[in-house]
Amino acid sequence: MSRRVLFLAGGRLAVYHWSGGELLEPLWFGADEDGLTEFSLYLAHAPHDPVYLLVDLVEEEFREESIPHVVGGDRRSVIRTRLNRLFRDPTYSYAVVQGRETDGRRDDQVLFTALIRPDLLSPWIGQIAKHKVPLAGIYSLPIVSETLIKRMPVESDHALLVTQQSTGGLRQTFFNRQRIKLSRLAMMPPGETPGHASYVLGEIEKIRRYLNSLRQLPHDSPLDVYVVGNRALLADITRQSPDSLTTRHHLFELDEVAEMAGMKGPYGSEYSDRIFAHILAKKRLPNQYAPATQTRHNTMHNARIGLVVASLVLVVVSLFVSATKVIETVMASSETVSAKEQTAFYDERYEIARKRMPKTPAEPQDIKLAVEMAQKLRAYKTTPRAMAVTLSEGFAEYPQLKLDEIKWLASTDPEKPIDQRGRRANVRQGTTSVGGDPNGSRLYQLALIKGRVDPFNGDYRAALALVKGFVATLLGLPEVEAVHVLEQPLDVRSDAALSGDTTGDVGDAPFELRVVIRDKPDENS
Amino acid sequence: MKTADIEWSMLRGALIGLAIALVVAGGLLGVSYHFWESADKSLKSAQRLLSTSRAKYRTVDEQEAMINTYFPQFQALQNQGIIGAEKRLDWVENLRRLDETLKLPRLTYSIDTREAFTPEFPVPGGAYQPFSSEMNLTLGMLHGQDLFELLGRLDESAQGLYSVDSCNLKRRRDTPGPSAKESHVTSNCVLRWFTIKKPGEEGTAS
Repeated sequence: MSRRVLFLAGGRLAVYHWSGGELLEPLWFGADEDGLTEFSLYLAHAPHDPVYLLVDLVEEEFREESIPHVVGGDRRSVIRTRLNRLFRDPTYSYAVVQGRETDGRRDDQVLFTALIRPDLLSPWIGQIAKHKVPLAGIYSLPIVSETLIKRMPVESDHALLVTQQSTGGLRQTFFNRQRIKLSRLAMMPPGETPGHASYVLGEIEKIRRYLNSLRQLPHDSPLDVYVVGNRALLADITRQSPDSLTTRHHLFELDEVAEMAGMKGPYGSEYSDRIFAHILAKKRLPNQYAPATQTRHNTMHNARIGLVVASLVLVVVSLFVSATKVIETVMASSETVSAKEQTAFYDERYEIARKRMPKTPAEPQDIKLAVEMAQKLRAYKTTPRAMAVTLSEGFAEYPQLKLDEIKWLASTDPEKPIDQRGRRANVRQGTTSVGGDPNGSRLYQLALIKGRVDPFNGDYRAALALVKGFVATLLGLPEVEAVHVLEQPLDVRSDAALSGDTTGDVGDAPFELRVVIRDKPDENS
Repeated sequence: MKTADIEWSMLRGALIGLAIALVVAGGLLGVSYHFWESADKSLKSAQRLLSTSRAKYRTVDEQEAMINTYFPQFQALQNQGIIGAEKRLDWVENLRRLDETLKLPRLTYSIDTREAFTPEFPVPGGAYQPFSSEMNLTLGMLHGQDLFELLGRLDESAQGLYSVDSCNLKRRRDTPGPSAKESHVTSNCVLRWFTIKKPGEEGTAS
């Protein structure tokens, strides 16, 4: 994605275009009226790609302070309060938590930085806002250099990174365990490279003493200085053999560092501006100094990109899903045709086969079921003959007992009342009689028989014995399921009333029995 | 960010694009899904028919065997008046002949309309269902054995299948009466004549 890095330093602004993973040659604009006009024209006609403003100014302060260890909104509030207290104008201020103290309350160690001359940025920011160019953020070159030093072979806990910018600045940034602690910008003297080495070494010695005074350096080891510069400068420094007990120099050519920063091809510059611009453009670091009001257009830009991406994703996904459905539709149609052809084939073969068979009034399965139904009905066919035979066997042994009446019925329920007219048919489906066979597969014959003892001479004891014997005889027959005596010749139970006339006619000695016999259906019939 | 801070001019194009994308995506998905659903429904229907046809074809041999085994029995049951139309005329004629043969003092009958029959015992289902007609048979007899004689002969000669539902036998006299036409025993029986037919199928009585 296209973007631009604006490099503001020494009263000039360079615009680097990022294209194809590389920075193009910069456009320069002066901080005068003409420069601003040209910058305005440039912004008006250039594509509205997001801009990353990298500043390398003398007017930047670094303070390291401790704050209570709090998180979330409380931390933001504490930091905001501290920024307001530390800097007179905190418009462009930044704070980063770098660790915690090892003793006491273990407060957070925070580096506070600010650009103390917002007016140096205002003209440029004004033009950017005027043209609604998305401002991704405002960045400090020393803070960005923290990313660079992590890519360099730095093993020392206390390192000083020295770089030279095209605007004449000599940037010295001190790192403790690769976390930036302070930075200083000195302006190089005008003129050619010869003589610059002494100046650079002098500036390094100055900052070393300053760091020493701040007790930032250890007593027992030298300060490791990493100088990034062009070949001539590094050669001059080497010639002066600057290493001592307090300072140890590590020299890196720009080409070498550019490669470490991920730049391809020959570096082609005598200064390190492009390296920082490249890191910023490639890494797209989070905003450092710009307030939200100034990055508003970038937020809109990102929202617009999000909407466009969402639209494209929506269309692509719907196209994919639709294409899948179209393919499935085509396949389903093809399979449908095939299924219909196969169905017609099987139907035709079936009809041919059916024509060989005799004409039937119904489907073969229904014919089978109808025949089986008839067999079942035939199997459950009943007549009172079985009951008559059973009773005849009983009465044959007791000729004194005369039969007057039989009420007979057949049922799958042996407890079915006989007085009510027995119906084997038209019972509601799903109902079963109490005590009956739940499957309804066993058939019973039930009979209510009324009879009397004849001749009867008034000897109830003998009459009762006859009936009792008759019942016992019936129960001895294998097909008899149950015999219940409903009425005795004389009811001698204590819970029944009893009356009679011993002087007159002896009367009858009637009895009534309920007989149940098994009438197994013949399933094979 | 507040609503007032939103630069609608920067978002307008993208929002319009999103709206168009939504419409296009919705249209594409809706149309493609509609056609797919229709094709899928047709496919499932065709597959069901195919499955049925295939299963039917596979049962041809089985059906042939079924017809060979059961159709003659089916036809016999039709001829016996068990499947199809009731043979009421035959029943009545048989009763009359039996009365003449047995010389019963009394024989009266009444037959109700044919109704669907739901037995107490399980019967196979299918297109054919059981039906029955109740015949109330009142006999005046010289001996109770006459009832079984009549039922036995009805079994042999009548066309149809019946079962006796219930019977009441009552002794009238212990000794022979003055007339040979006087009943010694009376019986009142309910005979259920079964037929099997398709519901709604009209059987022509004969």
